[in-house]
Amino acid sequence: MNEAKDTPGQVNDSPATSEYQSKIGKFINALIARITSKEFRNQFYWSFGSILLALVVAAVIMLMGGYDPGTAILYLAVGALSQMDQVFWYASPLILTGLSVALAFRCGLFNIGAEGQLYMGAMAAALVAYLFSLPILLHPLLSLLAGVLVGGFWAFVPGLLKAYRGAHEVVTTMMLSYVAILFTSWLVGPNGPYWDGSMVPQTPEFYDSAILPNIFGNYLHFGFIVAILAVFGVDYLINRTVLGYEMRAVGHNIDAAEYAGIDSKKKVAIALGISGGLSGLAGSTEMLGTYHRFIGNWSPGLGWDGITVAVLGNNSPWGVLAGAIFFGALKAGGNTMHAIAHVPIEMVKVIQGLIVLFIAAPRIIQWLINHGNANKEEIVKKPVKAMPNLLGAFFGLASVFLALGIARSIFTMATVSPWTLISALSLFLVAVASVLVFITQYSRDPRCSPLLLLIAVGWSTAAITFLVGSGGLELTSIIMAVIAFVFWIVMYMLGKNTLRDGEGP
Amino acid sequence: MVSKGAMAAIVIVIILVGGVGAYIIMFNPFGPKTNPYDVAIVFATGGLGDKSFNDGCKKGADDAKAAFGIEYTYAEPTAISDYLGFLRGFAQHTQYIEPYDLIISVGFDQEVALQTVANESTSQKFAIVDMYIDPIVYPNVASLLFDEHQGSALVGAIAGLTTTTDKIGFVGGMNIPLINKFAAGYVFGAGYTNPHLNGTANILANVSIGYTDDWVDTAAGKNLADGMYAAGADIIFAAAGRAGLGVFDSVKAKNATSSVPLWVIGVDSPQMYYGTADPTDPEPPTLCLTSMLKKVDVAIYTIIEEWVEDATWQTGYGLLHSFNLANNGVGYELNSTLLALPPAVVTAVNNFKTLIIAGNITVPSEIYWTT
Amino acid sequence: MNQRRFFFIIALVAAIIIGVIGIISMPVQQQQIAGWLVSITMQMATPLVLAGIGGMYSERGGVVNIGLEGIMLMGAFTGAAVTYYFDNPWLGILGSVAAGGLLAAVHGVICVKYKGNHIVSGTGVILFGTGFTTLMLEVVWHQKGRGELITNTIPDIIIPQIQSHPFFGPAFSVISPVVVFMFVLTAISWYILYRTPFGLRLRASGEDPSTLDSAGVSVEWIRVVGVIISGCLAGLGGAYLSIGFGSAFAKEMTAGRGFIALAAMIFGNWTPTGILGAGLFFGFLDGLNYFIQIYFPALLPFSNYIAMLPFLLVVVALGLIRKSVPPKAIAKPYEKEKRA
Repeated sequence: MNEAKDTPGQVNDSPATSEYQSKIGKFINALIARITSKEFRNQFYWSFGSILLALVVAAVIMLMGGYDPGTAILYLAVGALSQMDQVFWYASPLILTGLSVALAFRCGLFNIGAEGQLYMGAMAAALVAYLFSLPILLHPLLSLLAGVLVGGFWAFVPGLLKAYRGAHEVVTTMMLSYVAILFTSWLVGPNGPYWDGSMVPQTPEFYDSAILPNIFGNYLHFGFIVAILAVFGVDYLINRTVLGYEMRAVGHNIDAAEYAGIDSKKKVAIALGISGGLSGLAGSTEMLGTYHRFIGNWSPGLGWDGITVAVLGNNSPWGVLAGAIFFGALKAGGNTMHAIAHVPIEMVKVIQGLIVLFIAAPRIIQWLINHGNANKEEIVKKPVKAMPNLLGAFFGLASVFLALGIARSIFTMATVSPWTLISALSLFLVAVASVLVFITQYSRDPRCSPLLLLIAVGWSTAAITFLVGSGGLELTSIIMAVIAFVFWIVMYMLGKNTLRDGEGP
Repeated sequence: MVSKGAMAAIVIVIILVGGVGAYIIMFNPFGPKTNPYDVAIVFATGGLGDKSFNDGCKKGADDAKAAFGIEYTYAEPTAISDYLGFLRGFAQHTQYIEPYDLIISVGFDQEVALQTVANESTSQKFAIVDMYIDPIVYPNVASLLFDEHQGSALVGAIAGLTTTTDKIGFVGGMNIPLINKFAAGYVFGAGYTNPHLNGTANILANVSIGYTDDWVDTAAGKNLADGMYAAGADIIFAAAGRAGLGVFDSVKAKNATSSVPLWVIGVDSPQMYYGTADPTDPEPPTLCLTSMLKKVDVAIYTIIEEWVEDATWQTGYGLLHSFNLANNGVGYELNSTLLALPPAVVTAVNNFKTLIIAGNITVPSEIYWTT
Repeated sequence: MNQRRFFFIIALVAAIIIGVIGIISMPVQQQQIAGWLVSITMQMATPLVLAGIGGMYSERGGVVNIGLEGIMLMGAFTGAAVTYYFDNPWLGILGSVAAGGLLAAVHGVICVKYKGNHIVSGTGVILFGTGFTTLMLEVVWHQKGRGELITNTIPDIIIPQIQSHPFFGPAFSVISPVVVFMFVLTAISWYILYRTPFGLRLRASGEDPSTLDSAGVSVEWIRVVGVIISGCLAGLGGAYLSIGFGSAFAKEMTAGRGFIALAAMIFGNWTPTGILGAGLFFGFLDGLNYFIQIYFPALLPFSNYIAMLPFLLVVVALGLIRKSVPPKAIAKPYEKEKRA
């Protein structure tokens, strides 16, 4: 923040307006300062780069699978943008379960059983919503409250076990979540008390007074507002209250917290309890807003997705909000992509997984940026010397795509003979080696020569097997082999030269 | 790592990619598209690949495609909450000019979503498999219903006549009425032909019933079946979606070491081929005795023929298409190239079938022996 | 401590002998049931124990690996696909081990080299594994949901001498080599962990990495190797599901076993023998669920309670008897101290 204030533009402005600077102005200035800060820029690059890289890798996988990545990604975007109500609708329970997991993480606990707390909360909310007839505003509120309490209780028990018996919360919450799913589906099943008599285990529909109305669109209901309020609440709890501070202290270093006089056991139990309450709230809002009745096994894994959202948001409430909305966008867009471009819905999972993997390692993106800058400098300074390296990196990338593409076309061939399998295997190895070549060339590492030779050998193996086993792609393979060989020789000579240069002075 | 920076990055990505998207939606640079599809299908959450229910529906659509030259598209939702979005998407056909002729919902749990969408798009014609929707309230929805318990009774009768240990088993997906309908019919049929399987005491002693509590976990299906074969049952009716295929794994392993022949009974689609050593090239012997056929493919084919091909839409209770023994909507698989059932068994089962069709015997549709 | 362990082993062996004698003195029918329960226990425990011990290698080295589920799926898929193409289950096993190791290596490199958050990366591995295998399922078999039946699965070891015995027959006469490997692996892992330099280094890098570093050993390498071993074992566990116990790959066929393996690892207190015990316990509870369903038909309306019993038992057991103590430096990236 301070760095930005030193910029000349702002220094000129501030004296004139400083006395009259309104709160809004301050806020905007702080925002600008924040956005121009280096830390923020890095985070921006990392996140942006992660998404971009994930999309590129996903596109490669789609090509391998025989789908059209262009159409798929286009409809992914179109679907997400044209259906904002669906995006927020998918996001709202994820915000709450994400907050639940994030809060527990802040206290050093891994609440892997958010799914179970969600079910228990939803069940409690459903019971209040259909067993009792209450006035209009009171009904949903009481129903949500019941959901929070029961969901909280379902996590408070493992919290107590963790605090006073040392039982690891990963095991207890997960086991209790299986119990919750089975228990609730018994409750609403034909042998339980709350079955509506249909062919499916479900309760009767709720009273209209309990239902959360829609905000706009066909999907988005008031649960989203509840979720946003919860974001504010958790933010306040974690950052502004003593309890939140103590929880963070316990999560940071339990021994130090104990030493500072914090009753860590109590905090652990309370933190898991609140976490469970948030999950219960997620289940309750879904019940009252979307489903309007409790159906056995209804949740599509909201609790599990909550873990991903929490880690994506770096366990901060606002990060969770962003992560959940992003996931909602992927979900809504993914449905459109699936319905129109006929790419399997699992592609969304692959994209999600890749984004999370890349976000896990910001240093990968940083590495790309740093070496990109270094390469740029080198091109400006001594273009002749930098060219072979960059060309090599480019060749590596091209080789990856070609190898994977040809390997894929082999698998779609009608007949699979040992020859084609050998060529597929060698092409796969070529792809791996090519990735390594890209990495070494891009970072201007001189040790790439043997890898290039390996690629040349791999391509020629593929060419031979194609020639023997009637493949039809031998020409490409031969050309690639020759190019790789030429590159190897060039690199070898260059390496010798640089060595001599190095020795000279 | 990812906080407000991430948020801004995400927002900008959305705006960037979204700008393109919004441009395409608003100005439609590729020109308006004519709808290449006549029929849209929204499958049940289990998804394709269960070799029974969803795959059967797809087969019906494929048959209609071959017969009438229609084109169809489909969606595979992964959760109950996805139904609404897909159904509405097809009903509003935003990317195409013309609507779909028919939208088919597969599965009982699409009821609520379909009612909502059918209310919004009253000119759009819908059909739902496996669920009753009031045709007076929703005149644009046809219900395709099955009497699975009748078909189950037939395979139960075959099981009752074939068993050598006088013990049979049933592996269901979940302890829910929909699945217990199969169980009830099966046990009733077996009890009709085999006195050792009749009456509450006998049923409790000789019929094993278990649930995998999961529609996809084949390991659970295999374990349950292993246990039932170990307990002396020699015929198991597998009605557990993809998890039921675990019973096929089990029977192949157990039959090799068993002193009595062991059998499995398939469900929904003809599965006798799946009981052979190599299902891609089915050759006898098969360990699948028969399959309870729930001809969803016939149902889908019928409704497509009726509306898309012949353009006749029923009204009132004519919209309730019931598929039962009488109109061959349910039945049992008889594949003489893979396995020849003894003629006595076939005769007995056909007599039983005649009695059910005539109404002399009523097959129970829910579990009747425990209270 | 050693004496206590010695007595524990003696008691365990005695209990097993008494149990076996008790079982073979029962009527034939009961013996068969017991035999079936024993075999189901071992079969269900195998993927859990393999993945659990794998997770132990990773976590003992200080890297949390919650991606076991995704790695198992990857192993199951690759095992099935390789067996399908080459018609050789042993190559399939090799492929599954390699694929599991590869995916785990990505996780390891991200966590160790790039200092990524372990749980973030693990979540990514789960998502990627689930999505990728389902997608590739269609590419390999041109089918949705479930691949083609694999006829040439891992051959079982058949011991004809005991086949006719009412108890040992169903329990041990037909046994998968992977199940045998589970027991062997437990012994090997115990030896590696407590009796070899590598084990010492692995434990040190999880408990006190700076000491290890000052001894001149690369903490990063030890950790990455630990993670890769975990991936190989989890991949093998997955392959057991697709080409050992079952005979086809189906989407999401692990059905949460990766998470149960994680639980088994914690329940077993991060020790090989403990994980074996926990895995067998979970497997037994699975079997118990089926046993009650099959032999007590009058309890049919309460099948859900029977199914949830195992999970409740685990919670009670963990709450009453065991205190979980994870490695100290777990999930903490190790930064070398800057030399001045």
